[in-house]
Amino acid sequence: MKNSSAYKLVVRTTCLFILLSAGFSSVRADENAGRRLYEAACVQCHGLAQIEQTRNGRAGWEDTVHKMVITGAQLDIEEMELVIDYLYQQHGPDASDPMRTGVLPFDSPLSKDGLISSENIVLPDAKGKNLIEGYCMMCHDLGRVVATRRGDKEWRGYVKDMLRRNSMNISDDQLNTMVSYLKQNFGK
Amino acid sequence: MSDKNDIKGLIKNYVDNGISRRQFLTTLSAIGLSTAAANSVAKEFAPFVSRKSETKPLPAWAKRVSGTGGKLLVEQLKASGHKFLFVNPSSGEAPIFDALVDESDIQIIKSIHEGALVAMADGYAKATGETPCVIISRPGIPNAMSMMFNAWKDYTPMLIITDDVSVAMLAQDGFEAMDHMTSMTQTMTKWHWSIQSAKKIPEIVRRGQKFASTKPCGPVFLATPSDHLSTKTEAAVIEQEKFSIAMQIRPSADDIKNAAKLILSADNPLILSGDEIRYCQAETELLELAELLGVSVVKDWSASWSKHFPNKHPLYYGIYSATARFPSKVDVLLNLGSRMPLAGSQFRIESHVKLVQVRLDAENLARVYPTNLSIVADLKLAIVDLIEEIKSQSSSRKLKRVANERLEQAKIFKLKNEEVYQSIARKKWNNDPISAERVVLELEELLEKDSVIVSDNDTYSWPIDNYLSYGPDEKDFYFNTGFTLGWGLPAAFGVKLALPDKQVVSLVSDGTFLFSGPQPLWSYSRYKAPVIIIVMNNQSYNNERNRIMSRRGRSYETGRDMVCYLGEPDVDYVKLAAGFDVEGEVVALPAQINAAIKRAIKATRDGQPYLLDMHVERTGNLANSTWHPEYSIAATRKRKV
Repeated sequence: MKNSSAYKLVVRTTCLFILLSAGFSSVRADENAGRRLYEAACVQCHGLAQIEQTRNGRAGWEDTVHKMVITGAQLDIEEMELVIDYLYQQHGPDASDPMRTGVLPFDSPLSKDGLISSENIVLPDAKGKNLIEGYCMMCHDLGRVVATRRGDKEWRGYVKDMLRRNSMNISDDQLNTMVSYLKQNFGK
Repeated sequence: MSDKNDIKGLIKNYVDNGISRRQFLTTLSAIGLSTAAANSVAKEFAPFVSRKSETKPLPAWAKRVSGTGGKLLVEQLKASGHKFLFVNPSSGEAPIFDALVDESDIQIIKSIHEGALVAMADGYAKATGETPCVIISRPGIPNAMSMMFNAWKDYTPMLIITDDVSVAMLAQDGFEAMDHMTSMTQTMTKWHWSIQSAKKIPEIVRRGQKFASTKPCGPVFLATPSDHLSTKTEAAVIEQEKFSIAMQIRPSADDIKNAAKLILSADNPLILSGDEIRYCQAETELLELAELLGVSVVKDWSASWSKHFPNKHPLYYGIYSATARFPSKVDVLLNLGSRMPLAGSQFRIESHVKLVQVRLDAENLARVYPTNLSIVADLKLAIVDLIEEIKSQSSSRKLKRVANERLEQAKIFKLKNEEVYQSIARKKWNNDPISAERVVLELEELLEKDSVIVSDNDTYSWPIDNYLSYGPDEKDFYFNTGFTLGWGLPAAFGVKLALPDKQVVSLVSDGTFLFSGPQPLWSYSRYKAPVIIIVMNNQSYNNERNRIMSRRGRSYETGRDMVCYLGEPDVDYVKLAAGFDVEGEVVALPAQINAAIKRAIKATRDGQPYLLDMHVERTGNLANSTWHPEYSIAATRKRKV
């Protein structure tokens, strides 16, 4: 090869293309396998509608799948991981299509002046509002947040669990800010 | 003595043996009859005179007993083999308790709630195969019925006896009375009867016991007006064995031939086993049959209170599923003694599957599912015959080859299954709150190999099923298939009463504990029942919440758990136990589990019950929710009273 630089570029590009293609095929293959396993193992006992209405992080889906395997869903370790991946890919956090609350209950904190739909919620301005909107709305609309007054310990538990299920690492300060906001505006 | 009535009275007295022949003749002479006439009259009535002295002696298996109806009842219960009477007293039953004062062969076991009492008797019956007798008051019948439902669903033999109002007060809708009291229990008893006289008490008790203990067994309810219990009379008490039926029904040779043919022609046969295996003590034969064919064994999740097959055996798969990945493509399903899977309007057995059923219970055999071959038989005899027939229809070489092929497949599946269970438990090992998987694995390590687990824990039934080792030389397990909660704590007492030399663990959830309430602890304490009681406390009806949320209705949308949270008040189970003089401790962290179980084991070795309030995790939807609809009666008051 006279032009070694050009050759290297071609080789690198080809390898990258092959690797990407292989990776892509592998992802697709895993996704298909995950879907088939999900359909085979889960419908042994129940329908799929309840799963498909849910949004969860990978750790959240792991909780669900673990429980189902203990209950009798027939998956080995590798298959279990494929199903968890599949559920996470298909029903993971998706701010464009979150779980929806609909009309808030009559006694929710923001329903003082009549019934309100979760689509029309505007959170009170305060420190922490952006964090709530940023993290919580990845899985569900704001209706879930404002529907019910909860105690300090309960809010803390919810936020920590939500972050755990979505494998989100935030600082203690951010966690405290979120809890403080929720307690101040939607606390008991 | 010339009055006509006086003469009739005299004759009656003579016939009833109230006066002797000499006295009869003397009196007739006194009223003016000649000696010849008096002799003639006496001769005429002689055939009707009761002749006590000429009564034939009774055989060795029967005896004549005189006394109150209560005394006759106790004597018949003794003759029927009862060593314990499960009692919550009623004043109308005083003659029974009076009869027990001088009775050393029967021990009273008292509970302070009739439902708990029936559950105790249920545990005792399951552990012994005996037919316990429960004695309760009539207003306690509805309490007792809560647990009678479980006994009915599980075919538990049991006599339940109560005192009705006196005959004079029957049908008056009076104190603690209702019309046709026994019929309340009709749908959950094999037989119910109101005893008509004191003299009939032994006979009816024998009959009740016969009905209760004849397979398929079940509860029998008897009521006796209280005055029958206090009336003095005489009746024969007869040993129960003269009325016992072994029900060892052998299947017909033709049926067994056809069953063997179907099974041998199947590519993927599957055995569904049920509690009738336990009732017929056919566990060994079931294992032999499964290994002979290399056939997998499953159970239905809702239809089994006992373990009939070693759960760590490669051929055991746990719960039946119509669309299981393994074993797949089932073509013949052999039901050995189980209720069938829930059907509803849609069968959960594929239409191409040939169904062969062997049941003790003819009523429930082929009740729902179209069945190719239905056999009413004793399970042990049926399996023994089936094994012989299979061996005669196929060469041992072929059987061995097919069985080995299937077994190898099963081993691969089982190994992967065990790996996945262990991997899940490892991931949850340090969960705080504690994971059920860790609790159960710690128990597996620390308990006696042949300990007995008694549980009506719904939420954690799967880990309890999967992580503990059950089998003939391993742990045993008692559950119920009625799912009326509140059974676990009192039933474990009954099991310990039956099996004092076994380590018994009552594994209940906080929900189930609260259904029975702490009342059973009174009996634990009074009778020094050394049982390890573990309350899996997650402050929630966990499964119920998850099922409600799985509907994805308004509760789920709004994140409102309307009914399942059990905290506020945060019940202190250790304090509850202390109130009954039962020691215990809270286990709040995973690192505390091991030492706490060891302390519980030591306490039970020392002869005391011990309670562990195990703070375990809620799981699934809204697991973190402690919100509940609030309401304060105090706040509604207009007067501070």
